[in-house]
Amino acid sequence: MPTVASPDYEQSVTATGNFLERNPLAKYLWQYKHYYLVSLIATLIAAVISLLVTTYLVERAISYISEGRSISALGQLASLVIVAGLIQSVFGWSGRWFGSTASREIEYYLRADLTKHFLNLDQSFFLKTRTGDLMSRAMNDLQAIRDMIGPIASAMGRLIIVLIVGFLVLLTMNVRLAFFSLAYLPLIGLVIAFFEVRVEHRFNAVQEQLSILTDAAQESMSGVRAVKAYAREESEISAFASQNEEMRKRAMSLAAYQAALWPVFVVLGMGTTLIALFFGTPAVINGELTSAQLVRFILVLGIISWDLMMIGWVISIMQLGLVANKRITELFRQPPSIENGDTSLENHNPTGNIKFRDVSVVFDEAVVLDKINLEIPLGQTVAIAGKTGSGKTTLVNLLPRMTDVTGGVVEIDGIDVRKYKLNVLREMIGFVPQEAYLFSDSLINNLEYGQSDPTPENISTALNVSRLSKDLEQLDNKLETLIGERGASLSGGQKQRAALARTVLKNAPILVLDDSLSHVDTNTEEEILAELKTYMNGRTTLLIAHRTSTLRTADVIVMLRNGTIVELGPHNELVKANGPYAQLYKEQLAVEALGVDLDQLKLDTTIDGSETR
Amino acid sequence: MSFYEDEQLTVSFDRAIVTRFWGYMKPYKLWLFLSVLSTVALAILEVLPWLLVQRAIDSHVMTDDLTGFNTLVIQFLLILAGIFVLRYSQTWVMMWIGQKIILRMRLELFRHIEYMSASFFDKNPVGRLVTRLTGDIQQIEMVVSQGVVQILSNLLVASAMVAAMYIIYWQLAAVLTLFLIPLILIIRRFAQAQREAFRDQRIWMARIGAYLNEIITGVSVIQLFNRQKKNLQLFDERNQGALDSNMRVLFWFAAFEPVVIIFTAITTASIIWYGGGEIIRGAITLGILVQFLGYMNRFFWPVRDLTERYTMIQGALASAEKIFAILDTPQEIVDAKTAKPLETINGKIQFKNVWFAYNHDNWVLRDVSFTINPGEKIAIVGATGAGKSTTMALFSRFYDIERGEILIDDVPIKSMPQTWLRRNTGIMLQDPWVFTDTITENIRMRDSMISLDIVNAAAKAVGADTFINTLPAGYNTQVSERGANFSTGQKQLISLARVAAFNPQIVLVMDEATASIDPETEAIIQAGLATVMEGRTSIIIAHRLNTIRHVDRILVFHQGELVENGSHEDLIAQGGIYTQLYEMQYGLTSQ
Repeated sequence: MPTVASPDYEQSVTATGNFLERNPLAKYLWQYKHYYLVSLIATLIAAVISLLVTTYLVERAISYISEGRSISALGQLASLVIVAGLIQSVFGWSGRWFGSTASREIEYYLRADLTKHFLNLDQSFFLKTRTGDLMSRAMNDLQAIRDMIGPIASAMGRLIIVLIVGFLVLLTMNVRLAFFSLAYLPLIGLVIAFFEVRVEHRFNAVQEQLSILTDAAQESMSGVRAVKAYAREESEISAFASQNEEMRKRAMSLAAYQAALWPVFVVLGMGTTLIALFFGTPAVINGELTSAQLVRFILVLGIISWDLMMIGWVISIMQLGLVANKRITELFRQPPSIENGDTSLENHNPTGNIKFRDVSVVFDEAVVLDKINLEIPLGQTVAIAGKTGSGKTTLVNLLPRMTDVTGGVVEIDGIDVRKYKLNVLREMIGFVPQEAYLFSDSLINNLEYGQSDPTPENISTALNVSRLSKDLEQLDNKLETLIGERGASLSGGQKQRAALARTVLKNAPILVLDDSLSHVDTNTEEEILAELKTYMNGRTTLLIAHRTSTLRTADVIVMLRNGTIVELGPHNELVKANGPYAQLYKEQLAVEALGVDLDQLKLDTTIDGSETR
Repeated sequence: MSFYEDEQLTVSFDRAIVTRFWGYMKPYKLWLFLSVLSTVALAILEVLPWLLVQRAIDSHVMTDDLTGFNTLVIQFLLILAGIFVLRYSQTWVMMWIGQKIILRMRLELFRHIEYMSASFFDKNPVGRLVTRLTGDIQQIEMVVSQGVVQILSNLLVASAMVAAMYIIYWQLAAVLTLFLIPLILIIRRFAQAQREAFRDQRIWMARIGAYLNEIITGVSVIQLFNRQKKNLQLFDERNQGALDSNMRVLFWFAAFEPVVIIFTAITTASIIWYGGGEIIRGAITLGILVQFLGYMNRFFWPVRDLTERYTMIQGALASAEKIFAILDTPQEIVDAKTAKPLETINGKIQFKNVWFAYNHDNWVLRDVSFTINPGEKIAIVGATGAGKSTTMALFSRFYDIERGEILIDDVPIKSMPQTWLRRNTGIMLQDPWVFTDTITENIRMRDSMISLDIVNAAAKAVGADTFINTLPAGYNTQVSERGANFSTGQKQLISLARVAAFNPQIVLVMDEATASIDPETEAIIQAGLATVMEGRTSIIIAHRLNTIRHVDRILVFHQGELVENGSHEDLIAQGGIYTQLYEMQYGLTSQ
């Protein structure tokens, strides 16, 4: 079995530039042009043999018969028919094989490219799209494209060749009859046009509804625990049932036309024989044609009709394929996050000096960060506090460029982060995001995201810092334990700690913890913080937290409000300053230590002292 | 091979599956019968045109006589019209039946899945279930609308041609049969090889799907760790596997072509050699020879089509098997026949010697007993793995206990309908789940029995209305997939409003996630919680002791056992595990 070279994983995929670059499918079709050319030539030769040679041999045989020649003469013709068949079969096979091989390899490359493209797209893209939709494009749409450029392209090529060769053969026999038969073609064109118009939008409507139905099922099942907790199964079912019924309606509206597609072309195909008889019979009687030629005429039209019958099928798959290609191209044209970094920084030896200069981020006119200025010297730990929506996560997301600034500059070691190549930049940063996403693989393979083939010492350090070492006893296969979809078999705290261990293994000079211990119980959190203290030594650390117990461990605390820094300094100073941080600290102390009744908590005072109402 | 790559595609012509499938077809048996009848008519109609060709040649072409030729043309046209009408109506009817069947099957499957117990979802990833509801169901529709009847039709057309040839001149027909038998055997062999390759291909596609799903959902982690290359290599293994199996499918698909061409050549040669001789000897006419050529040319079409349809049926059988496997998975927890709701609930909760294990012998709860009085507020505390969440899940009967009893108002929960039990127990989950609909619908869980006024009142009561009112569309704001346009705190407030709107007598709160919320929102949530718990029997789980300071009583769990039970002051006085936990928190903040 042939295999193809793995695609280049270094180069990023974009659909910009000239026509071929903007249309990945066209690009690959062009790349595989030789396959298609070979396929076309083989098909042409096969068609010439069947339409010209074999039918001629049959015509000769019938003349021999009417002339009453010997049976051995017929035998010679018969063996020539077999020889022609053998040659035709070789070319017929090549025609099919080369056309379809190209289609499957192109499918492979497109799928690899698409996956690569997904991996280069930034967060804002994934926030806008649904996983189910992306999946269906990468799976179903690519298959539809494959069918279009494989069997369908072959069938189309064959049809055109057969029509042309067939017409030429008919011309050599009788010009008048050839043109009468040709007149049949517009009729077929008319029928195709009729279906084009009616089937396309119905077909799109069905696809649209299928995607709605898929989303509905996906969502209902993801939230099945909540549905059960409220005993809302029936309303989910009835909502699904109405989408289901809509699906049936749309499918039936399509069926009214789709059901006709095949029969129409079968009948049109059989009609060619009638054409041959209708024009041929009087021609024989007039002496314009011999009876042997009439038979050949019938046979030639019969071969053409075989290919005509495929038109119905060709159209329906073509439609699928074209729509699918539109959807895929649209995805490819989504610009990936730019990687136009300076190559001279490839071997940059990072230290971890971070500087935010006049940094602003604006999303859809909403100001998330407003002129932030912050300098974090090498080795310092900075904690970031502030209420939800104050811009904490956005601020740290700027470092690995999960988000880009809209104004100002973020610098690492005095160099704009946008100047680094993405992989160089991200290599410098160990980032533990809010949501601890794990892969359905073994625990160790998840840890290896941080470092491939880690030494046992490194693993034990990581397990120790994250305090995952304690949990290992409970897991059946220790580090080899499979952890289920999205780490389903681990608790929330375990997942977060596994995510931390993964980052610790990465051993990057800059560490970012985005509220990443929220599901860890207080006891363990304290242990982790103690362990991290040593680990963070010499690393620049950014730490988002809510609890003052965590915040106070930092060298500097940054209080954010509505995208601006309202306070900055070490714990002791800020407590003395009696500002927003001190307020937060006191409130938490009051709640935690003094056990003040929750009802007495002043709800109208925010942590930075401003009034909410 | 991971958790969701273990797709098995064992395909067999299982009688049980076919019989069961027939159950779905049965309501349409009249239509099915008509379809079958029309295939017989079609087979005959499709044989007729060549009879007319023979007549045209023998009685017009060879005799130079055009009388009656027009009648023949009209007959031919009528036959074509007949074929069109029959084929169209037959296809339409089968599509209609197919749609009806999948409508029913899909809903049945969805309903069944919705009512499965929690443990089912622990074992079956959502992606797999969705594939069952879409791709697999679609396969079945295909086979109904384009498989069953067409196969029969193809068989009949092929047989009718053979029969016609035997009737016309059996000697020539017999010669051709000699070649047809090996042809059919070869094609069957090829089709089998193609099917096997096809099965491999489906397995690989399932693997690609599973891996791709992960790549997409975990994309930010992959990017942060610069793992694009490595993950793409892993993806490539699967993509390459799919390509290889694809190529094998293709190999056999392409192999049909030369076989058909060679056999056409052989039969054509036999007809002109043997048939030609018979004409010279005067045994048959030229028209008959042409008729034979016509039949042989068309014979391969239904035969080849047959093999493609057969592959389709195999695929559909595999799909049907997987669908039926889900439908056959029994609900682990079923209502007792005598189950009936309580007339009123006071809200007394009792656990009596409860033992529970997710896997046998690995006890998560050991002999837990406690009583909660109506309207009492209880907190459960303990380290991770102490059995807190399990206690909540057991009370809602997401799982059934092994030993002991759980009672509400002295009645075992096993004798109540599950839906009723849950409907009367407001539960706030750790992960506040929201779905893509308006905020209003998220609060009332699409239950139109709950009025908009109640929704507003509930949101106001828990303090959720403040943020909802700042949204441009207010309560009609669309929540996006997984609530991506809301913060965790806001989602918790929605989920809290949900509890208030359903107004249950018993409230369960899984409060683990509150740490990821800023203090201000947290304060609102805490106040909302207090409102919701007021006057109701409530159990709350929290890791942070401060959130549970206002409860009446505290249950302390340790390694699956209830070790302490009492008010905050009592427990502090006891100086046990609770005191330790408390001091740890206190000590940490006062260093």
